[in-house]
Amino acid sequence: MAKEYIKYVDVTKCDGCRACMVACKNWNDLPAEPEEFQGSLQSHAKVTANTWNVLNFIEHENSKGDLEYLFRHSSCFHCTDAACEKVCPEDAISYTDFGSVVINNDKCVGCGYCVQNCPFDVISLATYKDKNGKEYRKAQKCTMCTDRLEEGMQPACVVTCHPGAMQFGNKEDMLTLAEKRLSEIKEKFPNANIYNPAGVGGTHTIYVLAEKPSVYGLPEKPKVPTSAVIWKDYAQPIGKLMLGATTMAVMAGFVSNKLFNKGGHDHGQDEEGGDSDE
Amino acid sequence: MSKQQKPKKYVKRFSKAFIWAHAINALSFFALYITALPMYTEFFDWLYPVFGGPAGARLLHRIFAVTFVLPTLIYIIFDPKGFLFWLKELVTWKKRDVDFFKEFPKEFFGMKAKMPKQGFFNAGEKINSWIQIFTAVLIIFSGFTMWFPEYFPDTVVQWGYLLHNIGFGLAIAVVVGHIYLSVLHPGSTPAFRGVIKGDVDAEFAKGHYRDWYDELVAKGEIDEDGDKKSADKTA
Amino acid sequence: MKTSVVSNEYQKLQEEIMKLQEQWKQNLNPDSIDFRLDSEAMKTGVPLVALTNFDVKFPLFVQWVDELKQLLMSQNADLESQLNRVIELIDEETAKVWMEEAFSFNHLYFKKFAEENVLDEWIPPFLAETLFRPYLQLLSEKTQSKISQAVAGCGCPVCGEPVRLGQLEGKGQKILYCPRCHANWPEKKLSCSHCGNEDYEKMKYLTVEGKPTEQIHVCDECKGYTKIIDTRQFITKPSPEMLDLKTIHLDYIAQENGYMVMGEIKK
Ligand code: SF4
Ligand SMILES: [Zn+2]
Ligand SMILES: [Zn+2]
Repeated sequence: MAKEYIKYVDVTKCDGCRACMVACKNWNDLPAEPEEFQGSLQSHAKVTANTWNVLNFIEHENSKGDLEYLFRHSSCFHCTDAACEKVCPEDAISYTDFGSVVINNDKCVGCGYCVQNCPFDVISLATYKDKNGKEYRKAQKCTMCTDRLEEGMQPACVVTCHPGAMQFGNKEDMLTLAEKRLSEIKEKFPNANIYNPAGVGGTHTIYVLAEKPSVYGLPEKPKVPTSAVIWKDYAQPIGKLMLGATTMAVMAGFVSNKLFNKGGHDHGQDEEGGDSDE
Repeated sequence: MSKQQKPKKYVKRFSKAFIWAHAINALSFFALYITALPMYTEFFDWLYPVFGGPAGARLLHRIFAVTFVLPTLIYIIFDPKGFLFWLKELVTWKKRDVDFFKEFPKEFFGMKAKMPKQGFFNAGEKINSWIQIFTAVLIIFSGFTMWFPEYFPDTVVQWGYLLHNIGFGLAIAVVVGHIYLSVLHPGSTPAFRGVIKGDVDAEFAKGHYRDWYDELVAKGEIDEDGDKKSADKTA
Repeated sequence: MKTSVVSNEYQKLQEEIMKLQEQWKQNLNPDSIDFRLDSEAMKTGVPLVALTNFDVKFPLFVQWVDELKQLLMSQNADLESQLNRVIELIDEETAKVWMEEAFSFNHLYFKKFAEENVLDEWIPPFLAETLFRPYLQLLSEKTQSKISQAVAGCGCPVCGEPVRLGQLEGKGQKILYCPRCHANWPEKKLSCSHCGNEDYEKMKYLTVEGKPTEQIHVCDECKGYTKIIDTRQFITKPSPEMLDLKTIHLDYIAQENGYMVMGEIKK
């Protein structure tokens, strides 16, 4: 039985070397996107379909008025309740036993529903060309290196992290580690917190943050969009039922007309109605 | 109820603009339905190749989205009077409209029904119009947010998906009923001619839309001939 | 007991046996091994085991044999009669001999024993080796802190087992591990464990497509090889013997390429 794992990111130990970005590109054979590397520091760097993790660099003025430089390794959170999985119309997104959320490329039709519904904005569409030059799209994001997990290996980014800002292991162990680290740094960073949002059932990439989530460009209280819940848990099933019910009614109507009304159309009723009114 | 072979008389019911608008709208609706079906249930995934893959289906869906919206404009531009009349009819509700629904189920299942006299549109058609307008607005606006997500806040787009889904669900249910009543239901077949050719059998009009028929007579729009013939038959 | 394919069942069995051995080791009295850390002798390649006396307690020995019998029978019930015969045959004297012969890899002795007593050939040496390992592992556990190097070509400094496995640790140091007694010691990255060759032109790495954590260090001087695994990338680190077992495909690759477990030591 596979175990549920967590990737634990301690942003206070990150030195911004970006080795994780390189390791991810290498392992996943992703093409370089030169524009991503322009300028040495970016505060609004965002993951893309070909760059599954990105190092966010944040200039932050702390409570004492000093400028601080914060780093955050950003990638898919592998939500326990993943909005992307919920809204995918093709069942192309699924959970693994490890807790990671993965996209089945063969099933993905590139509709982009997931892109619009991910509370963290970390899933994107890549455009490819088939051999006839026709364009098609596929959703792409961090896989937590599920192919490595299957081989008993840790994710590529974690393995290359020299300052030990990332660790990978059993869910409980990592949660304990995060708690421990939080208590260590609480004095130095009074706003420090563990980012493992309950609105998506907890995540499999968790952070110890030195400042409030919003400082790192993270939603304070992310959740599976309510619209997505109504859509997928109520509207769609009811819609399908209704479609079935209407069809049944029509069939019943058709059949009973055949039964009661053998002669085909019958104007008599209406005319009688008209007559009786006169 | 003996039926003699008498030459039929027809009365004008719909303008050319309406007929075109109605037809384009209807066909677009089905094209939209079909091109979206594989997205709605995986059961219809086999349709993708038919449209040239998911990308092809998306393109077609957008083309038909445009042709779905266009007819209303055609109607407004080429038959503004008809359009206004339609709207006026929709907001006019009388006792006959309410009574209609008491008899409708019997009619629907092909049993004897005592239908109250109806105006140009019967109450069922009005309801149909209302729901169609409502769902069309829902579908069109939510569709916009889905087509151009970059111009809308995330939440609006997310709700757009839901509303598109709801709008579609309602619309298809109503459309199925609408089509059944106008094409398949034995009592309504003459009505189908109305939205294709523009005119209906005077007999049928008298039977189904008596108030309208009487109005036409009162206005002198139906010649004595037609009127008399049908009156003969009734007698 | 060599299997060509390391099936899951076999790995499971191996893990069960290791669990038993670990228990046995825990229950061993630390004083039952008496070693003499003779660094002079060890510098010449004498394994520590040769400088150690093991005090094998017969009742314990019988108890272990019985536990092992239960485990083996849960895999293959047909073994019952043979294993019972072994239990009948063994007395205090044989137990002592077995331990000694296991430590010196005396295959001839076990072969003869099997023949004389109509046992499958693998049974006596397998039992002896399995029962001997807890002692070896206790020995290496007690002395690990003093083991910091080995003599190339002389195998494990504790038990003398030929070197075949190493792991990358920390910033990439090569640490050799003995799958038999668990002892570990560092070695220069570009050095042959079998002949001590440090000529980098004669040292090569073989790698396997799609297996980024696996390397085979081969030496063209002596034709020996060592499997080096980057276990830093692993989620959980397996024990040395499991790692050895799970990378058995590397042994095949090395041997297909003309390299040998021990190398031809030219001295
Ligand atoms: S972070 Fe976004 S893409 Fe990743 S599992 Fe959660 S919803 Fe899906
Ligand atoms: Zn050893
Ligand atoms: Zn060598």
